[in-house]
Amino acid sequence: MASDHELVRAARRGSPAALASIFDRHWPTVWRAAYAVTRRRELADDVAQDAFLRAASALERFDERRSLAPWLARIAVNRAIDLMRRERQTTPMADIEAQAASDRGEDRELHDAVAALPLERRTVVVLHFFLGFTLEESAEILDIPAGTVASRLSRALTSLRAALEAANHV
Amino acid sequence: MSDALDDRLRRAASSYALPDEQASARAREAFLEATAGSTRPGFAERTRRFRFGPRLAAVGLAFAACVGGAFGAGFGVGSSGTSISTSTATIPVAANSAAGPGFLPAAGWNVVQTGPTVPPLAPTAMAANVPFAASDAALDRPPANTIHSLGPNGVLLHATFVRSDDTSGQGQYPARTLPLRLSDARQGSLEGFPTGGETLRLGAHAAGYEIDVLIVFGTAKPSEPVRAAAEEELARLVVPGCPAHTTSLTGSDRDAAASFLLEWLRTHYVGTPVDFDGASARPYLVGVDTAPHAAAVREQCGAATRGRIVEVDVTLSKAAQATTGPHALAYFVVRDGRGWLVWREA
Repeated sequence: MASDHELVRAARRGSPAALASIFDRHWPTVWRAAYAVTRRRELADDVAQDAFLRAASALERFDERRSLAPWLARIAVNRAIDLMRRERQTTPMADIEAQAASDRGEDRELHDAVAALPLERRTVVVLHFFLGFTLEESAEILDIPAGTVASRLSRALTSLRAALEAANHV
Repeated sequence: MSDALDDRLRRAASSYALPDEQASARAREAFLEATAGSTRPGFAERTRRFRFGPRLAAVGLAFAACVGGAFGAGFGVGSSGTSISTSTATIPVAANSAAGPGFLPAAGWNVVQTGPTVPPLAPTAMAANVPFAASDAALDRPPANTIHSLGPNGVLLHATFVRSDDTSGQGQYPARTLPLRLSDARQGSLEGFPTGGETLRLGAHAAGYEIDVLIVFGTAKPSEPVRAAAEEELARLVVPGCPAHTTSLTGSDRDAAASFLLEWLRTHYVGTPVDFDGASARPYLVGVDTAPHAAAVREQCGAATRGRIVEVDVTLSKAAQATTGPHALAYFVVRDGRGWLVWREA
């Protein structure tokens, strides 16, 4: 199986197959990164697709010494945050919560608690725990220092513990 | 900080929302359609197309056919004819200091090149000892039709030139000197694109470029004369020389160069106009100021360009940096008798 970097080189040459492989390999992660921010499926669809298009147009500038997945996720997260800043003024939060709630499978209690986290904390939790990015990769994606990611994660875990304990005592 | 909650979160990863299959299929289809350039600018078009499209291809072919040797004088070149030297010699630009990298014209060979490009496009060039298929001459897609027309004696070389941002000289490919040699190439392929004949790939960090060359033969076992012909053509791969006939600049020219570059980018940059909202440009007179990429200029041109080149580093908006990356876009601008022109990207 071709590596990401081999696919990037082939895609730079204009290989549609390489481009399709990049999409297939990274679409779920990019979509989930977008969804972590938007919590709306249709917005995550749009953001993830837009992220791939933007990435494709900038692929010549991709630094091959770095990993492709964090770079793609970074584009998606940034686009999602931009969109949410605009959407926040027009979409009732209740609608977002209702859509997001329909997506939670096993351990719904935990997913509810994660979904209730503020955006900054929720995003680092999803990137690190759900999508498997390291602290450094998460920092790259969010364009913040790794220490900030660590502190946000710490606060997020504190919030989650409190939320889960409260839920269990109801 | 692994504890029960950590473990629970990691287990929950598998049940975190996944994209809908139908929506994913639609997105995939739309993405591939867009990147094929069939409906709107996308990957293949935006990264492989050059600014002038087929018009420049025609100019390139005519240029190669008509001006021959004069064109060769426009490049830094390590070879002449079929002789193969072991070091890169730089021939001053005589005719066109903005000429991009490519293949020198030679009897029996068709050559085409994009000329200078603006990121995310990369200069691309192609040479073949058979006529180019009309669909391939624009260099905006893999040269499938030309490759399929290669007979047993046919050879096609396709090269992409990406400027190395690494001023230490250590790029992604091994450092090599021009002319490139076929013996350095390895068996390769154009992923997802079977060629039928022997296919070689050669990567080289040379003269400030990351050069990726695809060499395709028309048969799986090309004859020695055909290999020799490919070697000769590979030796005609050249990169731009240093700017010549440019005027000496002073510190007061910095701002004019920056203004020119920003205007030039608005019409040449493949992106959206909003990318330049809030963009800033910082000019450096190379050899006088501490220009970030001065070492790259010295590597290629020595000290002769001191005070004749302005490096303009453009910082795009934060939003645009999501796709371009956090680094400034750096360009070298010179001025000749006709005015300002972009020599090349850093």
